[in-house]
Order: sequence, then structure tokens, then C-alpha cells
Amino acid sequence: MKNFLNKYIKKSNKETVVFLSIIAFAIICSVISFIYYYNNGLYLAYGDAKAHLNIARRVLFSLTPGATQLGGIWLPLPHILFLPTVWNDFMYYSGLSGTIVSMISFIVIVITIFKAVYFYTRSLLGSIIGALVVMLSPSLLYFQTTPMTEPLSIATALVAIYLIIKWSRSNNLITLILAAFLAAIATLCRYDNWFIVVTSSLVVALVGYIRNRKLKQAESSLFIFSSLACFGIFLWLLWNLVIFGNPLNFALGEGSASWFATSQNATTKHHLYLSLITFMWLMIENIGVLTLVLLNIGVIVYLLRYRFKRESLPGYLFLAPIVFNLLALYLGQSIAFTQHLPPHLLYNTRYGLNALPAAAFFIGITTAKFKKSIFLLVPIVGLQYYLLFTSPLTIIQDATKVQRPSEHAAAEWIKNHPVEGLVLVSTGTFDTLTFQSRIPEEKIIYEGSGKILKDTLKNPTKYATRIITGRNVIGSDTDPIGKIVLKSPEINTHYHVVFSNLFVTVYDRNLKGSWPEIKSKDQLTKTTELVKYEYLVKAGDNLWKIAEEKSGDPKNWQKLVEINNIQNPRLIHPGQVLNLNI
Amino acid sequence: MKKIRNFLFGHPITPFTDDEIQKKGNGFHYKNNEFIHHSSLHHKESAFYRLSRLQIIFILIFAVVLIASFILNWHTTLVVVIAMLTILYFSDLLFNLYLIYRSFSKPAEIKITDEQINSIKEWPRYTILCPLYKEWQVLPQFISAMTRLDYPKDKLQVMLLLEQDDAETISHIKDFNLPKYFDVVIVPHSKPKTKPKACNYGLKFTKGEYIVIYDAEDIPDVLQLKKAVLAFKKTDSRVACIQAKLNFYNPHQNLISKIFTAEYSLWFELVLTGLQSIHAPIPLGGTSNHFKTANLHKLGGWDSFNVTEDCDLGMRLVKHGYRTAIIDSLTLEEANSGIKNWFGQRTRWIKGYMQTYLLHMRRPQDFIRSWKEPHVITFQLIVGGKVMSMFINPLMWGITIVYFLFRSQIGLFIESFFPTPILYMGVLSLLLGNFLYLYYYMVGCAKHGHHELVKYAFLVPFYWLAMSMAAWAALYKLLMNPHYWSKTNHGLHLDNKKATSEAIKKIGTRLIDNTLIRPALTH
Repeated sequence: MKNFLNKYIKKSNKETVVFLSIIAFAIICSVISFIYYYNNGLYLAYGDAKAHLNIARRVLFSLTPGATQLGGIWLPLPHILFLPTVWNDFMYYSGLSGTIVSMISFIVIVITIFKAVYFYTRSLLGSIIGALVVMLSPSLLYFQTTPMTEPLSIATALVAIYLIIKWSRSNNLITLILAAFLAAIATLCRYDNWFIVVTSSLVVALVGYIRNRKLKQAESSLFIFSSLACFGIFLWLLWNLVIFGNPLNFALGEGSASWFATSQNATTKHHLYLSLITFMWLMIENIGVLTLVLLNIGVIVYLLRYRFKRESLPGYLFLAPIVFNLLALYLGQSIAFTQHLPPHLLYNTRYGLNALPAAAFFIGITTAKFKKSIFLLVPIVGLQYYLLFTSPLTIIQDATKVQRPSEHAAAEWIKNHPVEGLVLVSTGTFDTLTFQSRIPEEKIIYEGSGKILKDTLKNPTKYATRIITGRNVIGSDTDPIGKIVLKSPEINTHYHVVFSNLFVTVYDRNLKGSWPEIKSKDQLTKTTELVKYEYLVKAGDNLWKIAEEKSGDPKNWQKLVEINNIQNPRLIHPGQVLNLNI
Repeated sequence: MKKIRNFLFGHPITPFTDDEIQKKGNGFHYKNNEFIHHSSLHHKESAFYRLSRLQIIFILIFAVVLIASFILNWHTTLVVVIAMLTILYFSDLLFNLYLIYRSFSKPAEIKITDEQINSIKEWPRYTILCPLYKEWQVLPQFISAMTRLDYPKDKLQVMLLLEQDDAETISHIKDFNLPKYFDVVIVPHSKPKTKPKACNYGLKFTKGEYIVIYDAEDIPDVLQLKKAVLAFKKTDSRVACIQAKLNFYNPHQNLISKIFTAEYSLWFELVLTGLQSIHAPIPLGGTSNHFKTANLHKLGGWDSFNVTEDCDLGMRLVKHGYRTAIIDSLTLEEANSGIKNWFGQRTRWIKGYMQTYLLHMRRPQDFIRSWKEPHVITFQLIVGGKVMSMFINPLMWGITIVYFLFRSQIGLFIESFFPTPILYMGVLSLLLGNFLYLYYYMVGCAKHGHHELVKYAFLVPFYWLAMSMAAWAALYKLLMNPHYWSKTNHGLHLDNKKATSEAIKKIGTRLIDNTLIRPALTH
């Protein structure tokens, strides 16, 4: 450590001082943002955030622990990185075990943007501006405090791109190998990066060819890069084949993105214009409209200044994530909604975050090219970020749009009334509930319990002391496990209801000698009080009336439509439950 | 009693008397046979006996324990055996990864510049040893290559070591106008009939301060001798051997030569440089290893009974506290292009590695000179692990294939042999390990500049399969005929137009200098 410091102090030229200050500043930003979101509790707002933690935890503690718990839909690397800390209760329940990974990724993202801009321009000013654009981005600052996979995915992809940029100049074999390794790592974080690997391979082959106009050089570079970079993808296909019997399970299986997209009617599928507009709005929600304009200007500046040369080609890779998200929307492989376009919902708004590194890089390049533009750029980006900071962030609204008071209430009740023995619950449906109710992972029988689940579904009394069933979103069916197990005759003879609200019902096994009175389900629903903020639609109700009655302002009906995902506001059914938490 | 002892431990040796040594050279009698090996190496340091008494006893005890525990509880025994093999396989994987990392992070090969060469006026005497056996076809090419070496000819001694029973070569040598710094030495016929014995014989007539061995089909970099001299001066006195890098002048002749080239590129560009950077024992490359003659005498020369005397010498150097350095100078060889030829050569190499491993495990403690340099462990991985992995590899693949083919029937049964940590380790070695080894071939090719060969690395798994078969053949031969040297044929490239034109392109001049051949006899 002392040597390390000495080395830097001796070498204390301007570059290193600036570089170290940027890192220090990034760390400060990261920590402040963490403290802020940790205190207001929003850092675990995304259901996915809890689900990621859950997966990692189950690898260590569950009825059937082991690597298979990583599953076959979400890519495994984030969960693997959570493993060293997730065993600890505090680190797990606080989400810190994932947040640490995100925070480190955040620092890496800042460093990479700084270095990439510096590599092309040798301008400290441009590099600083580039670094600041990522570092102060409200969206990224939020995500780096969550256990979500975006920061890690962006960081690994950026480092891979940066190494390709370096290699394009140095032609150093080891740099190319490292780039390929990072790319392989990135492909195990998010599927977006699979596309980046494909485009990077093309760029690497092109750079290899341009270097001395020899095809064999291009071929060699391509093989060296892509065989390692694609190895992660190969492993993932193999994993899907071995564990789930189909190498493409991740793409087609239940719970995959395209499965969601088809089941939820992707409006952008095969509509190029709509995809474009949708993604433009997603980008605006994340980086702001002014920053988006500057990004476009930056690309033009880069194009004019560097054109398509050996060294400048890899720079365009920063745009690959944007292209990928557009393509995914267009092909119907992913689904995202913005409030500005029908059906006026928030869904997967965070995809727009992928434009941030490109914005930072190209704005940095612009600053370096036109030094004086800083007097224009800084106020613009500053104003934009100020506006984003002061209004509620769309990505957080997206995460908190579906309030689930019933699920929270059930979780609270279960937490306070633990049972000995095993609990049968669909964690796919109730990720938030299982996380909040703190049922020990070793006691849960769920979708990933393999043979134990099969046996329990056939004969619940064999293992399950408690059964949790229900639904978590208005309009959805009973959870897949409940659907099967409720048909079992044993439910009525060997279990009784201990808790029930409109969404969640908890059954406990009858104890020998104490057979409580078996209440019918209808009876229970009536007797159970509605949780605050929920409303059971009666015949003759309409949204206007409900809004007026419950909030005092009939105009609030639009908000009801929004938060309840109502497709046709004129059509609500008696028995439907509305979320009133507007 | 004596019979049993002889059966178990081999018959005793009767060393030559001083008179016999005077007359015939160093040697001994064994079971009515006479062995003349021409080296001062004690037979305990040679591979004449495959195993020492202690080793035989140890192996017997090990076998008895293994069989007994197998009878007592075969399942647990198998679990333990599989676990040990997996751990070995896994550590080999980690070790190789470390080596490749080192070869990039701390490039250790010695580079000599033209300026350094030009600054020296006085050059020491240098001897080149070239053992030849039934390969007169490549003689013109070799003699041409030697005359082209950039080294003061009055300081050079090129010694062609011919075998007494190889009448063909002896007669062909007369066809050449040999310059006067060429010495033709006829090695008297004796057992064992190996290349190291010929070298030991040649060592007696060596006048040079430095000595190097070239194979008859070699075409070394013309400046290599000068570079070696400078490399010895640059490095500390512990460096007793300078190894030049080997590669081929006919890589594109056919598929075998292509993959063979990829393998050599990996070995010399990545593995050996990695080994040098951690001062590990380096299995020498057979040709183009340069020594100080005095050191060779001190070490007792080569082991005439070892069929990879180069590998053995590399280990012996380390045991005596010496080091090997890699020099950035190339010797081009003929890439093996025939399947049978390749298989024979590979079998000999693996047999030699086994001999070397068993020999140096007689006294593994000699590797331990300081705990900072754990040669005794690296030796296990470099020599033992390399051979062992050839036997384990097909086994692991076999288990995997059987597992997936018959998963529903015997899947659980196979799983029962792999406790969780071993399973993870095994899966990691199998997938990551095999991929990485394959990838190293690509990197080796790219580093050497064989860009067009990179893609052939995908065929390497078949090459490994052939290697494993050669390993079994080698084991059989080690038991049946340990000192037999199966000669690799050379000159296969000379009949192949594509290969010769490629070779000419590579060395930048014709392969054969016609002025060396006596005009009267050319037609």
C-alpha cells in the first residue's frame, strides 16, 4: 500500500491527480446516494431486486441447495457475485450484499468513461465532463444503490469495449484476450450483452483487417476474440440443456422475457416507428431530453472528427446497447411501456438507462473537441440533471407503481406467526412476500425444490405444515402452486385457514387433537377486513364515483386507471379489487 | 530367494573395469549383455532401471492397499480415487493458467539486439553436435544450413555423429564437399542405441567452450550461436542452458503439420516462457539447446537410457541448482506430417516423460533447494501432470458422455461417485479446462504470427485423443522395451512441393546449397 501510494505521489502529474480525484468523487457520490435511498427504503423497491437476492440466498440455504438454484432464466453472474456475502442475514435482508456489487460497478463505469474519452482526445477536460455525466446521472445513482443487475452489466460491457479500443491502437494480444474475457463475463450478466459481443466481434474483425489489409489477420483476431467472448453463452446454453432439457429454455421458457412479451401483448412488436418513439421516451425518462439531444450532437461530432478508422471504429460500440434495446422492442423480444404513449403505463422504463454511457462518452468527446462548448454543455446537462433530481424519478415510480398492501399485510402476519416445519409457497408469484416474511429459506418448498415439490403437490401432508396461496396482481390468476394444491382433497381435511385477505390465503396443518372449525372460503373473505387502500368493486360502481368517494376529487380516476393497469376505464367488474394508494 | 529378488528388482549390474573403460568407454554388464553409454552418469541417476527398489516396494504396498480397500468398500474407494484425480486435473488447470498469465505479464525470454552482436569482436569456440541415423536425405539441407551460420568458421566445429551400422549415411557423406570445420565421427555400435549415447560419444571429442545440439532436419536462425553466447554473458552463472525456440518451416503441408505447429507455438511461446519466469524445471526441447561444455561434463552428460534425454537433462539441471533460459531466436524444424510417424514420435516422447518422472521421483528431495522455489511441486505438474492428464482426459470425457447418453438409467449411479465439491471441480475442469487448453493453442498461434492456423485449434480435441492413445502405447512400451528409440523419419517435406516452397519462403533462400555437393557425383 505504501509503495503504491509512493508510486502515485512520485508520478504526481496532472493526469493522475485528476484521475484519482474523479475516483474519490465517484466514491463520495456513490455513498451519499446509498445513504439517501437506504434511509427512505426505496433501494429495494423493485420486485426483481428482492428476487435476485432470493436466488443467491437459495444457492446456499434451501431444501435443495446448490448451483441449480441459479435457475435458467436470469443470467447467473450477479447471483454468483452475491454469494460471498448473502449468507449473512444482515447483508441479505438489507440488500447490501447486492448493493455492494452495484456500487463497485458504478465506480468502474465512471473510470471507464473517463479513460475512454481520454484515450481518444488526450483531453482532461473532456474526460472529466464525460465522467461527470455518468456519475451525476440520477437514474444510475439510484440503480447503483439497488441489488439490480444493470450497473454490473453496464460496467462489464464498458470495460470490454474500452479494452477493444485500447487493442485497436496497441495490437497487444493480451489486451484483446482480456477484452474477450470481460465480454464473456458481461454475457453472463444480461442478455443485452450478447448483442454487444456480436457487434464487438464484427468490429474486432474489421479492425484486424484494416490493420494490414490481410484477411488472415482479421480471421485470427476474430477467432481469438469471439471464441472466448462467446464461451459464456455456450456455457449458458449447455446449462439450460443439462438442467432444463432445452438449450433455449432461457429464451422460450416460462418467465423469460419473450414469454412475458407474448403473454402481455407487446405493442411495439413489428412496429418500427412505435419502437423508436417508445425507446426515445425511455431514454428521456432516464437521461433527460437535453442530454439525449447532446448525445446525438456528440455522435455527429465523433463521426466528423474520427470517421470510420481503425482506432475510431470501436468507439461506436457505445451505441450498441441502444441498438439492441430498439431491436428487442421491434422484434417483440422485450416489452416496455411509457406513460407518454398508449397504454400509458410504466413498465421496464429502466431500459432507457442503456443510453447513459453513450451520452457520457460522446458528450465528453464533444467537450474535448470544442473546448468552449463547456460553457454551453455544463449548464445544459446541469439543468437537465437538476430537473430530474427534483421531480420524482420515473424509474422509481415504475418500481413502486404496484403497491401490494395485501401482500405486505400477509407478510407481516406470517412473520409474526411462524410455524415449525415446511412452508409451501410459489416464490415466483410471491417474491416480495417470501423476502419480507423472513421464512427461513431451508423451510420453503417452492418451484425450485424439484422432487420435494412434486411429492408435496401430490400429497401436501407429506411435507407441508403451511401453505400460502393466492395472487399478487389484480386480475391475475391464483399462483401456479396454489392452483394445483388447492385441488387436493387433503386441503379440506388436513388444513385450516389461519389468515386470509383478498390476495393471500394461508393454510396451516391441523394439529392432532385440536381440530379447529373449518370455515368456508367465502365466509372468510367476508369476515376478513379489507386492507387499507383497497377497494372491492360493487355492482353499479364506476371509477369517477370511486375516485370522488375515496379521495374527494373525481378527477383522480385517471390515476386509478394508471396504478391499477386498467385497460378499459369504462369496464370494471363487481368483485374486482382496486388499489387506492394514489 | 535370489531369483525372487532378481524378478522384483532386476538383475545386478557389473560395472566395467578401468581397462574396459579405456578400451570401449563407460559402460557395464547386465545379464550377459554389454551396455556402453559413454557417460559418467551413475546408473542410479539413469533410466536404465525403470524403478528403484524403494519405488517398487512403495508401488507394491500402494497396489495392495488399493485392492484391499476396493474389496472392503469399492464404492468409497472409487469416490476417493476419482476425487484425487479430479484434484490433480484441477490443479493442472490452475497451474497452466498461471503459467500463461506469467508468460504475458513477465516475459522472460532473452532478447539480443544487432548492436550487442556487432559490439563483440572475439568469439569463443563453439561445437555443434548433430546425431544422424538413417536420414541421409536431409543431409544436404542440414549441411547448407550449417555453412550459412553467421559465426567465425575458425571457431566452429560441426560434428556429424554417424552410427557404425548406418552404412547408407556413411557412404552418402562422401558425396559432399565438407568444409574443414566439419568433423565426421562414427559412433561404434553398442547398446543402447539412442541419440543421447551418440551425443555422449561426441562430447569426448568436443573442442568448443560452448556446445549445441541440432537435429539433422533443423534450420537455425543464422545468428543463433552469437545470440546464445551473448545470452550466457547477460544472465547469471546459474544459467547453464539456453534454449532457442522451435517452430516449423512446413506448417501448411497438411492437417497434422498444422496442428503440430499450433502445439509447438503454444509450447515455446507461452508454456516455456511461463516456466522460465518462475525458474521452474524446463523440459528441454531436444534440439537447439546450448550449454557451456564444462557444465555438461560436470553433470555427467546425457542419460543414454532415457528416450527423452532432453527432458531429463532439464530436470537434472534444476536438481544441481542450474537454470534454463529461453532466447528469442528461432530454429525451424520439419513438422511431422505423417500419422504413423507422428504416433511413433509421440509414443517415444511420452515414454520418455514417464521414464523421467519415475527417475526423478527416486530422490524428489533433491529438487528442494529452497522453499521459495517449490520445484518439487512444479515437477509433478510439468512432467507427471502432463502425462497423467493424457490418461485422465479420455476417462473424464467418457464418464461425461456416458452420463448424458444414459442419464435416466445410470445418472444417479454416476452422480454418487462425485461429492458436491468434487463435482463442481470436475465440471469446471472439464468445461473450462478443455476450453482453455484449446484456447491456448489459438493464443500460441496468434503470438507466433501463425494467424491462419488459429482456427485449426478447434480440431485439437481429436489431436488430444490421439495423444491419449499414444500414452497407452507408451505405457506398454515402457514395460516391454524401455530403452528402444523409435526413430522419427525426416525429410517427408522434401517430396512435397508445397512444403518445400513454403520452407524456402520461410528461410528466405534455397534449402540446399548445390556448391557443397561434389560435382562429379551429382548426376
